[in-house]
This record gives sequence, C-alpha cells and structure tokens, in this order.
Amino acid sequence: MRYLPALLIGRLVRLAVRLVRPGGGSALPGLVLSKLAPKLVYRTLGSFEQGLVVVTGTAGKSTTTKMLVAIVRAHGLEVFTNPSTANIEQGFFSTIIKQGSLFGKVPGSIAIIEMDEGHAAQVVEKVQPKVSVILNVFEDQLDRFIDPALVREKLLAVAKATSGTVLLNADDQNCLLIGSELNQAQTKFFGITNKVSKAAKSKLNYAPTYLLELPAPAVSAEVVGLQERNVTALVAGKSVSFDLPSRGLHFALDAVAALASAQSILGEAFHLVKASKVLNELPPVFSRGEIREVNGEQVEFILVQNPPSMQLNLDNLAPKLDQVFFAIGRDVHDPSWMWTVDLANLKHVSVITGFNYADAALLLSYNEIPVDSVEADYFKAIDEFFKLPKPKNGIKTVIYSADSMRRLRRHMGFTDPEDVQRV
Amino acid sequence: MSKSLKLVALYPDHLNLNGDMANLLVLQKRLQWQGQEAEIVSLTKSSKLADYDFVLVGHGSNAAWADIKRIDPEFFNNVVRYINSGKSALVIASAYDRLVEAVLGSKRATVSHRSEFVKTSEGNVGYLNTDSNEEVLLWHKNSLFTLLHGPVLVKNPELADELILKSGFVKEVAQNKQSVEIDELARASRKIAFEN
Repeated sequence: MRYLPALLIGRLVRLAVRLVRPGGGSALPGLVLSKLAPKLVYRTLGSFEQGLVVVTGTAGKSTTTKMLVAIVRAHGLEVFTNPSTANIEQGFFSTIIKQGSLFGKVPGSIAIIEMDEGHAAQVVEKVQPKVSVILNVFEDQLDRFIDPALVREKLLAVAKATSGTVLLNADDQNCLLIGSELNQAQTKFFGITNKVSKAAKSKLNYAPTYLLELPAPAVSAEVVGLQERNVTALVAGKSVSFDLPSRGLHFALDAVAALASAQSILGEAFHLVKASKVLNELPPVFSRGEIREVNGEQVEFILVQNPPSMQLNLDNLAPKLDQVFFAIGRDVHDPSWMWTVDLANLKHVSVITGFNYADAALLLSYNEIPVDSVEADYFKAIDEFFKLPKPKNGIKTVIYSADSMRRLRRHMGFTDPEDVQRV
Repeated sequence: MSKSLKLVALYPDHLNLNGDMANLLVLQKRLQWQGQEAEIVSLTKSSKLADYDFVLVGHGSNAAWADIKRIDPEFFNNVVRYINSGKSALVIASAYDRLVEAVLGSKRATVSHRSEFVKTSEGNVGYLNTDSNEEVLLWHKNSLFTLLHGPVLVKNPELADELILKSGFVKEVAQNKQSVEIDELARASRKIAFEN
C-alpha cells in the first residue's frame, strides 16, 4: 500500500509519455518512480520465491537473458524479466510500472534480470542474487569505466554477493580471475572449444589481462561445433544440436551460457532436449541480427553498441552487401572506440547518418570505404535508404547504435520489442 | 622522389585503448595527399626507435603498462631519449602521464577525475578522461603530448598538419580535394561534440 501513490504517478507519467510519443520508450516514468520510491526496486527484486538471477558482463546480456528466460519458462516457471533496453536502475523501475500491480507486486516465482555491469554492482549491495551469470569483460565504455580492470572489479562484487552458483565464461581470463576469488564449489563454467574458436570468422577479443594464462577449468556447457547458425554443444556430458536465432560465434556462446545457467537454476528438472527446442525456435532479440520485411523486401537490423558488438557483427556480415545503412547516434558519447574496430569486412556503405554522422564518415573516409551518401538529417537518410531499389546482392542491411535504432524504429512504426520473427 | 617515411605504432596491441593508433592513419593519408609516401610500422621493441621518423605512443590500460614495463624495462628511457633527440612523436593520455615527469623534469599535476569533451584555446577538440592537470596539448621539441585520448588528429586535422610541418616531413601543406572534404567533416565532428 505504501507504494501506491508513487506507482500511480509513475503509471500516469507512462500514459502521458505514450500519448505524446505513441509506442516510444522513455526513461521518464522509471526516473519519476525512482525519485518517489527509491527502495521499491530492491523490495521487488528481493521478493521472488526462487530468487534473483543476474545476467551481466560487457556483451551478450540481452540475448543470453532472452534465451535463459525462454528455457526456464518452457520448464513451467513464471519468470519476471526486463526488456533489453531497460538494464539500468531506471529501467528496472520502468519495468515494475509496466508489469506490476499498483501495490508493487510483480508476477513470477523467479526474476531473471539483465543488468548493466556498472549498475549490477550497486544493485547487489541491496539485493543478494541467488545465481549470477558473468559473460565477459571487453574494453568498452572507457569514458565511463576508465580501465577494464575496474569493470572486472565490479563484476567480482556481483559474484561475491551471489548466494548460490556463479556461472563464468571459461574462455575469458577476466572471468577466470573472478572465479579464482570465489569458493570453487560455487562456480560453474561455460565456453567454446579452441577448435571452434579458431575456425570462426570472428574472434572474441576479451580485455587482455597480460597475466599468465590461468588453467582452463572444467566446463558444464561448451560449444563443440558451429556451422553457420547450427551449434553442437555438450551440456553436462550430453550432446545437443540446435540452430541459433542469428549467426555468429558470440550468439553460440550466449546459448551455452543460457544452457549452463538454466541447468543450474532448474537442477534435476532441467531437460536438455526441451531447452534445445526452445533455442531452435526462439526469435532473436530485436535488432540483434533481426530480419524483417519492410516495403515488401527483407531487411536485416544490426545493433552495434560497443567495440565487441561492432566487431563481431561486422565480421559476420553477409558477403558482398550492396546496400548498408550506417547510423551512429547520440548514445555514442565519445566515438573514439569505433577506431579500434577492424572494418575489413565492411566493403561499401550506401548511407551514413545519425547524430555522430561526421565521426562515422571520417572513420570510413580514412579507411577508404566507399560511401554513396552522408546525410545529417536522420529521417531523410532513412527515407532515402528505404527508397533504394532492391539490392542485387544480399539484402538491405541496417547497422545502427542504440539511439539511432530507437529513432528509426519509432519512425517506421516498429515499436513493439517483442514483435520479432525468426527467419 | 623522396624516401618513404616510417611511422611507428609502438606496442599497438597494448597502447590502442581508445583507437589512438588511428592518428598514424591520419598522418599517413595527409602526407600522401602532399605527395610524401609514408608507411606504418608496428614495433614492440623500444631500443630501435632512432631508426624511424615518427613514433606514436598511445593510451593503454594499467595492465598493458605493467606488461610493457615487464617485457621492455628500458621503454621509458628509450622514448625519452628519442623525443629529446628532436625527432617527432605523438604521446597520448596515459603515455603522457607516464612520460611527463621524465621529459619535463617536473612533478605531474593532478585534479579529481574528469571525463568530458574539451576545446583548447587554439580550437582543438577532444575527449578528456583523466586526473591530470597538465596542459591539454603540450609541445616539447618536435613532439606533441596530448591528454585528448583516441584519434585526436581525426577531429583536429590542423593539428595533424602542424605536426607534419614541425616534423619537417614537408615544407608546406597545401589543401587538396581529399583534405577539403575530410576537414569539413572534422569541423562538423568538433561542433557535434558539444551538442550531446
């Protein structure tokens, strides 16, 4: 009852925002609620009968969370989760407004929450996770985190606050360092065999520690084969095969992270065949290699948020693309990191745009990548791109950062993040 | 035809945390537009610096610097000797922090940490992510020290041309088709930096 006025105001703000900007997301309702009832989010996250599961790390949080949630739901549990765009504290408040009752009750017996690596360390000071999934540490958001070692420290804080199992990436030395500070009985690992990693188009370049390599731990789930989108994995010694929602080594890693985590959460009830069936049918998270029809032709939407996601997505671009839209928006506060990405696979761009269009154009110009058009007016650029005739090679491909993604989706009316088809 | 210049990327796998090595690409292209060929050479040994025309010492993580100290104990002495010999270098962010005392002989001035875009009195723009209170841009002999991390010369091509001239690589820098287009984008990039 004590949160009723705050939640009512939060809902009214949400309603007002949606009237002004139909279908558009906004941080405002969550921000308002966080000011009025700052402890609500901790009370909510701490209220689940089967506890809180935190999925964190630099890259892969959204896809891993979506996979894990789908697997756990398929086993009959009611899961409370957050949308991928709401992985910081304000987003948790927004999710409570959207999914909860006016008394602050949210449905579900377990919470599986994607958390930004910086915010997770703050949240676990107030709510103890039962399970944590720590995916990786890449060199990312250095304007915010300064040094990759500080990210590792934050993730270690999450791991140390966890009461039950901590699932860690066996291939990332940063995760092994985190694991070395925990009780061994508490840790489980997932990974990719060297053979598969070496054969892949892209490399997962985790933040180097420059320390002697730690011994490889035993893994509870591992990618042992990858052909295009088809993965063969070993989970607790049993072999399973499934198709990923999108191509790429990173998505294969997300899948085994989800399988290992689901097994830890569900224990004896975990059914590997059922879990692989879920992965076989799951659509991608929106804009993570999402393919949808626009004006009667298929278009691929690819979100690039940081050096690893840009690198991995460019490495996995379909070959010989005729039409690429490249938009870097306002969310990329300091565009310096784009210069750490190897652009060898980006052969031609049709339109460069977004708030940081000038930095994007400089990047491509100095790297001698042909560009047809540089357009500062974002909506004009979108219309120009979608008016292009159907490409001779490949399909229209949109590569954009988060702010550009939100604006494009609003402009084109793709406002429901759950409206994603598997192709 | 003049000989091709050799531009050194020093420990490029360690010292490229914010895309600092892109500055060499900018220098290479701008030299080529003036008819001066230049090649970029990766170097993981500081003892041979004297053999090269230009050295970029980029920004690295604490772990990267610890590793360089371990594998190349004379690194700082060699870089200081190279700079004091009058040859050209661009020294960025944490490299500036680590070299300033040895080069200038004064203790590094610090303030509380700041992460922000700044504009220098000369109009150069870049991103600061530092606790240093040293000059944002500092010329020492023919080398430029900068606290602006990442590809600082991309946003500030006039600074790149000044570095080229001070290095004596060409006698003058003339505008051309490529530089006009790129410099226009750089002007837009500098303006946008303060609109966010």
